[in-house]
Amino acid sequence: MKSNIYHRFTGRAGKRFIAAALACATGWNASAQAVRTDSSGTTEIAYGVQPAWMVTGAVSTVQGAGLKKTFNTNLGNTLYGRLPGLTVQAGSSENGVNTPGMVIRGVGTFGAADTKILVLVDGFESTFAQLVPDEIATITILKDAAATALYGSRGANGVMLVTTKKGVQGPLKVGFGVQFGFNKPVGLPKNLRAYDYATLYNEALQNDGKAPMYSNTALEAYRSGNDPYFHPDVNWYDQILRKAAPQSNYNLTFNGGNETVRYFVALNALTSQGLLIKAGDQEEESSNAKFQRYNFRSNIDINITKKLTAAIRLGGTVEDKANPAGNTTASLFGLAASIPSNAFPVYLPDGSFGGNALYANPLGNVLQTGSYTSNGRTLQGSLKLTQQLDFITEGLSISGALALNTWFTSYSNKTKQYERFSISRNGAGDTVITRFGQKTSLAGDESRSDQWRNYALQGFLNYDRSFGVHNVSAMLMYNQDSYNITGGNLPYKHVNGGARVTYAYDERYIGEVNMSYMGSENFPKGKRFGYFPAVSAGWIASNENFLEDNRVISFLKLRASYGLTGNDLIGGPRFMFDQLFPFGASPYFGTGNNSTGGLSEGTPANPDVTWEKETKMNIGLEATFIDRLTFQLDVFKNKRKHILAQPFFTVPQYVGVDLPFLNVGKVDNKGLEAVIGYRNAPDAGVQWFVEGNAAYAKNKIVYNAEAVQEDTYLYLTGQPVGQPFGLEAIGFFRDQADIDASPRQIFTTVQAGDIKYKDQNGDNIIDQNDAFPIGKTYLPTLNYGLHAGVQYKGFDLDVFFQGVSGNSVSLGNQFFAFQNNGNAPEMAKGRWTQATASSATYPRLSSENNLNNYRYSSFWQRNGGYLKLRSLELGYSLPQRTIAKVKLNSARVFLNGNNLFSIDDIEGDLDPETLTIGYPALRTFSVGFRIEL
Amino acid sequence: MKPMKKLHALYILGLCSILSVSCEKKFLDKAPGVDVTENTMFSSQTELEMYVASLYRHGIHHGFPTEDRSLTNAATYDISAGATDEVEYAVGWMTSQRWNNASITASDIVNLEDYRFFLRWTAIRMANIIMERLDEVPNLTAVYRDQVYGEARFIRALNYFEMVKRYGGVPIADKRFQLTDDLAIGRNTLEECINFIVSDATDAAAKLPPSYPSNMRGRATKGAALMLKARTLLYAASPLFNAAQPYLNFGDKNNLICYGNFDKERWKLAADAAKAVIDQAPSAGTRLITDRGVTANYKYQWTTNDNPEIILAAKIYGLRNNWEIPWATMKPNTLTHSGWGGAMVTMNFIRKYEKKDGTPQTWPEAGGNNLFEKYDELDPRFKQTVAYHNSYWNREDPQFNCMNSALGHWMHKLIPEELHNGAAQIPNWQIFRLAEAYLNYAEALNEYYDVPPSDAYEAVNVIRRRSGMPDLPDNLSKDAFRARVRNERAVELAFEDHRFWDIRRWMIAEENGVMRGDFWGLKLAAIPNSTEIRFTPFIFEQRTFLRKMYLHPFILSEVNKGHIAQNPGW
Repeated sequence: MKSNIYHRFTGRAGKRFIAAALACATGWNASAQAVRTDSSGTTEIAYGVQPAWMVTGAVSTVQGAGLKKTFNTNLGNTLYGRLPGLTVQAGSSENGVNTPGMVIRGVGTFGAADTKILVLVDGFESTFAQLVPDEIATITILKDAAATALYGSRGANGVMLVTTKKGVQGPLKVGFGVQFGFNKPVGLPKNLRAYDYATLYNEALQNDGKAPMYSNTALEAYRSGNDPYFHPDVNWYDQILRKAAPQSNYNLTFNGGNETVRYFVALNALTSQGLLIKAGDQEEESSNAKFQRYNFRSNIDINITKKLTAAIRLGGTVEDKANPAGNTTASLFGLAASIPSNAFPVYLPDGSFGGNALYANPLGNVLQTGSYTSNGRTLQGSLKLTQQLDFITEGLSISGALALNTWFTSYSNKTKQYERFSISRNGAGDTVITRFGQKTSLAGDESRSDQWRNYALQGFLNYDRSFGVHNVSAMLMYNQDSYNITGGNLPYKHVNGGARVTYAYDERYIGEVNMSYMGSENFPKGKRFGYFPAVSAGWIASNENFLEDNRVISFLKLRASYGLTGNDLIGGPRFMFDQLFPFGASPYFGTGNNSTGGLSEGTPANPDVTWEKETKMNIGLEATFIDRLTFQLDVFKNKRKHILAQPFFTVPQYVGVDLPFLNVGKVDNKGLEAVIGYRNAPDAGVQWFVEGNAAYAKNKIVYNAEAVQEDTYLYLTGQPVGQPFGLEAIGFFRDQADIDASPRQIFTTVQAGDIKYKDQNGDNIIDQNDAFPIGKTYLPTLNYGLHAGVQYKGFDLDVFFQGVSGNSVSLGNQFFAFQNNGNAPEMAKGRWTQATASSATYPRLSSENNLNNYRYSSFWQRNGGYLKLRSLELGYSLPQRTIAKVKLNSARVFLNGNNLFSIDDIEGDLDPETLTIGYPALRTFSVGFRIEL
Repeated sequence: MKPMKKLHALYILGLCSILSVSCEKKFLDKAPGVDVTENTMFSSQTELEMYVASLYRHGIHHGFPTEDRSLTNAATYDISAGATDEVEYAVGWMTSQRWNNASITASDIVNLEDYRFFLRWTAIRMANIIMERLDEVPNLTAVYRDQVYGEARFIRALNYFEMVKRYGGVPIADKRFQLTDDLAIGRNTLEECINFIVSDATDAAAKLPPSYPSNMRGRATKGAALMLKARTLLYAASPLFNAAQPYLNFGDKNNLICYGNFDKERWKLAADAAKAVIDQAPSAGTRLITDRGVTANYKYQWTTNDNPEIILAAKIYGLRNNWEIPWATMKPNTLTHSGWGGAMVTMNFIRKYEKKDGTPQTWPEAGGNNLFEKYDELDPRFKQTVAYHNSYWNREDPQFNCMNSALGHWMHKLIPEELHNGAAQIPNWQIFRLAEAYLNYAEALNEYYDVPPSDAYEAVNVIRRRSGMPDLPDNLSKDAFRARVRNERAVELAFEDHRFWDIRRWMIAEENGVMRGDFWGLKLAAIPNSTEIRFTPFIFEQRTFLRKMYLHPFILSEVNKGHIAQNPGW
C-alpha cells in the first residue's frame, strides 16, 4: 500500500519533490533533521504513516543514525537540539539516573499539572531512554493539533513517537559495531585551598566580632603544606574521582527477509563505569561504580496469508547498576563539596581515616560504607495483525494490536559504618585523637523495588484509495490502556476512539480532519469523555502549473492546522470528584509517646473536574530552492485553559478547608521553529552540508486565580510559567551610615559589605514583598542547533553544536562561603572588605549563617544560556575495493567526542546545566568501528 | 472462496468481540479502594475517635516554637516571650525581633506570630461538622456523645478566643460553610464574639466530664471549659476591650475592636468565672502543687507533665530530642550541646523579682560586686525560672557559664533538666493551670471593687505562699494592689504566653520599659581573688511599640479578598 503511494507519487511532480525531500534527509550516514521524512518518503504520524507530501501537521523527525553521534547510556541525552521544538534539559549525568527533562514547544500549564510529553514506542506508551540508537529507525515529535488530536486528552503537551527498525526484504545483512571511550568530569566546583580558607575564615570571624581561629603559625603551616596531618589541605574530588571512566558498547544486528518473513534483530552490550575511584569488585565493604545494560530486539513482520500480515515487536533490556554507599552518588558529591579543605587529612599517620564531628570522610564513604546495586529489566512486546478487506472494498483493511510494556527494578542495599578519627594537638603539645563513627558489620536491605507496567489494546479500520487525481484515506481507531506503577493503588486508564479522514486532490490540495473521543479514570462518571477535533489543510504550490517549471523554487508547500487537544495530567489529588478524608496527624493523648492517627478533611471535591484543554494553531511553510537549499518554518499559537488553580482570589480562608482545585487557569504559548539547510551538488567531489535550526517558545500565565497582591509586580499573572521572583541586589552596604539611611532589611542585622536590596514597594522595609520578577525562567525560550558535515574520499566529518538562550540559573549552596560550617568557593576571594569596597564581587564574609546575603536574589542569578559542541565525529570508510576482498559491504572507523566545550556566562568552567552539587557533567571521547557483511 | 470469507468473518467477529469486551462501561470506573469519606467517618465510634483526634491536633494550640509541616507551612521558631519584656532572642533573625522594632507587616503576620490563623478555621469547621453529624453515629452512649459534643464546642470556643485576643471581632462560623454559600459574612462585633465564646464554653462545661482516665490526658475537661470562660471574661473586662473608645479610632467599626462602653459589671463576671474554676477544681482532683517544698514547688510544676495543677495541656508533641524543635530553638547557644540561639532574660524582667521579704530588689545602675548575693536574696522562683551564672542547667552543663552571654541570663523555664543529648523529653505546653485562676480572680475582684477585698489578697497570697514569699501587705490601694497583682502575674506565669497578651489587654505595652524605650542586660565580669561576680547593667537595645500593635493585622491575602475589614493602623 505504501509502495503504491510512493510509486504513484514518483509520477508527475514526484521527481522534483523527492529530490527536495532527500536533499538533506539522507546525507551520508548523517542525519539531518531539516526534513521530516525518512528515506522512503514517509512520515510517522499518530497511529499511522503518511507520505511526506500529504502531512499537514507540524512534525519533526530525527533518524536513529543521527543519535549515534552522542555516546551516552541514555537515549534521551542524544536528542539535544536534534528535533526543533523539543527542549532537552540535563538531569543528573550519572549512569542510570540521567534521563533528561523534555518538553515540546515549551510549557503551557502551571502549578501541579504535568508538562510531560507522551512517549510512544512503536505505538504504545513506554519508556524509551533504555533503547540504543542502533535499534531506532526514527524519533518523531508531533507538535500541533492536527498531529496530536488523536491522542485526545493526552496530546496537548506534544507526543514523541519512537519507531524501532524493522526488517527489509533482501539477503541477510549483518552489522557489527564497537565503540570504546571514556568520560571525564567537567565543571567541578572549585573550592578554596586550605591556606586561603583559613585566612578568609579568620577574616569572617573578625567580621562577626570574634577572635581569629588560626594563628600565624597555623597559616604558615597551611601555606607551606609541610604538616599534612595537623594542617591538611585536601581536594576531595582528587581523592574520590578517577581522571577518566571507561565506557564501551558492542552492537550486533541482523536484517533481512523474504516475501513471507522479514526480521530485524539487534543485540547490544553497553558498559559504563562511574567517575568514582575503583573500590574493587569483590570488596565486601564497597563496590565499583558501574553500569551495564544488555539490549535485545527482535522485530518480525510476517505475511501469514496474502491478505493477513503480522507485525511483532519485541525488545528488552537487562540493566545492572552498582554504586558504593548509595543508590546515587549525589550525597557523596555533596559531602565532597562541603568539607573545608583543611578539615582533616584523608588518612591519619596510622592509616585510619580522617574525619570530624561534622563531616564523614568521602573516601571512607566510598570504600567502607557498603554498596547499592540495582537490577532492572524492561520488556516491550506488541503484536499487530492486519487483514486486507479487499473483498468488501478495495483499500479497506482492519487491524488489531495488543501490547505489553513493563519495567521492574529491584534494589539491594548493603550498608555499614566505619570509624574515622580527628587529630589535633592540645595545649601541652600532645597529639589528641578522637574517634567518630563506629565500625559495624554489613547489613542488607532488599525490600525496595519499583515497577511500571502497561497493557494496551488497539483496533483500526483503515481505508486508502486513489480515484484518478483524488486520494482518499480514512482511519477509524480504538485504543484502551491501563497502567500500574509502584505506589499507585489503582491503575491509570484511558479509553479512546478516533478517526482521521484525509483527502488530497492532484497532490496539490490536501485537507484532513482528525478527531478523538477520549476518557480517563480520573474524572467523574458522565463527565469522563472529551471530544478533540482538529482540521488541517495543505497546498503544494510547487505542483501548480505556474510553478512547475520554475527553476528556483523546487518545492513549496504551505500548511495550516487548528484544533483542540487536552492534558489529563492535571495535578492535584487523584479522583478529585470524591470528597475524601485522608489520614493525618494526631495528638499524643495520655501520658506517653503514642499517637493514635487521625482523619481530616481533604481538599474539597470538585465534582466537575476536567482535563486541560488547549487550542493549537499552526501555520507552516516548507520550501526547497534550486534543489539545494531547504527551508522550513512553523509558527504556532496555543491557548490552554481549564488548568487547575485554587481560588485564592476570592474564597476566604475562614471556610476552614483547603481551597478547592478548579479548572480556571489559562496560559498562552506561542513561538516558531525554523530550519534552514544547504547541501552541495550530489556529484561534487567534496560533499558537504550545513543546517541550522532554531525553536522559540514563550508562554504567559493569563489567569491563575491568584490572591490580590499589594504590589502589581508580585503577580504571577502575565509572567511566564516558572518566572523566578527574588530580591534585586543593588550593591553592598558601604558603612553604617549607608545602612542607617537605607530601608531596613529584615532578614538579620546587616553590616557594611552585606548585600543591599532594592525596596521595590517603597515601604522602607525589605522583605518578601520586595521579591521582584528577576531574570528569566529556568526553561530557555530559545533552543538552537547547528549541524554540518563534509565528506571526501571516504573521510567524513560531522559537527553538531547546540545552544539555548533566554533562561536564568542561580548559584546555590556550594557558592555560599562558610555556611553551615562548610567550605568556601574560589569566588569568595572577591569578597567585600573595607579596602576592596569598590571592586568587591562577593559580599563580606561571615562565619555564621547569613540570612541576608545568601538568600535568593539577583546577586546569585546568572544567564543560563550556552552554546555547546555536543558532538564531533571524524570517520573513514574503507574503500570498496579493499573491503570487498574480505567480503564486507562496508567498514568505517571513527573518532568521536561529546560535550567538548561550552560557551557561557558562568564563572570558571562550571557547567550552566549542572550548577547544583551532584554528579558532574561529562565530556566523552571515543573511538569505534562498524562493519557490515 | 467460501472458507476464506468465513475466515474473514471470523477475524472481524474476533476483533469486534475484543473491542466490545473492552468497551465494557466499568473499565474507567474507580475500583473499590481504601479511601475514607465523610460517611465512613461517622459510621462508628472508632472512626469518629480518629476525627476527634484530628480535631485536637488542629484545634489545640501551644506556645512552643513550632515547625509542623504536616499541618501548615508557616513556622515560628521563637516563643511570644521574645516579643515582650521577658526575653530577648540571641539571634537576629527570630521573628520576635520584628515585634521589638515594630516592623510588623500584615503580609506575613502568619509567620510573625499567628502561624495558626488558617488552622484555627479548619478546627472550627471540624468542630461544626462533628456537631452537625454526631447524632448519626450508631451505638454511642449518651455520656460519650455528650463528651464529644462538649469537646467540639470547647475547641470551637478556644479557637475563637485565640482569635479574638489577637484581632478583636472575627466572622462567626457556627456551621460548616459550603463553597456555594454566600461567604461575604464579614466580621462580627467584639461583643458578639465574646458572647459566642462564653455560650460555647458554658455549654461545653455542662457536657464535659471533670476528668478522664490517664490514657486520655490532654482531652478537654469541665475545668478546661470553665477556665476558658474565665480567661475570656477577664480579657473582655480588661481596658483594651471594655472601653467606650478603642485604642485607635475605627470609625463606624469601633465595635469590632471594643465594646463601645465601659461596664464595671464585666469585672464581676470575670471574677465569678475565675471563682468557679477554683471551686470546681477539687472535684476534678486539680490542685496547686504545694508538697515539694517552697523552693521546688514552682519548678516541679513546670517540669512535670501531667501534674495535678494542670487543667489542660497541649499533647501535640511526642518525644523530642534536644536538637529538635521545640527544644533546639529555645536552648542557649553557649551550652555543650547548643541550641539555635536561645532566649536571654532581660534585666527589665529580672527587676520584677522581689526580695524574699517582699520588697523590691535594687540593681544599682553603676553595678555591683555582689551578684551571687543579689541572686540569693531573690524570690525563690527566680532560680527556678532563670539560668544564671554557675547555675545547674543539666548534667552536661552542671555549672552553666553565663559570663560570655550577651545579657547575663538565659531562660531556663520550659526546658526540663532531664533533657540532654540522648534523653528525649515530651514537650507538653500547659494551656491552663490552676494558678492562673487565682490570679485572674484577684485581678478581677480588685478591678470590680473600690478597694481590694480580702478574697483578692487571699488569692494572690495562696500563690506567693507556696513559693515561700510573704503575704502582700494589708491596706493596699486599688492602684497599688493592681501593680502587685500584675507583677505577681508576670513572675508566676513567666514565659507561659501570658505577658504578650497581658501587656496588650492592660494597654501598658506602650509604656517605657515595657515594650518601648531602653532595654537592659547585665554585663558580668570575674573579680580577681573572689568567688563573687561583678555585674554592670547596660542598655542593649531600644524597643518601639506602635499603638496599632494592640491588635494584630489580619493577613493581607485574606483582607484583599474583600470580606474582612483590616484593623486600624495597618
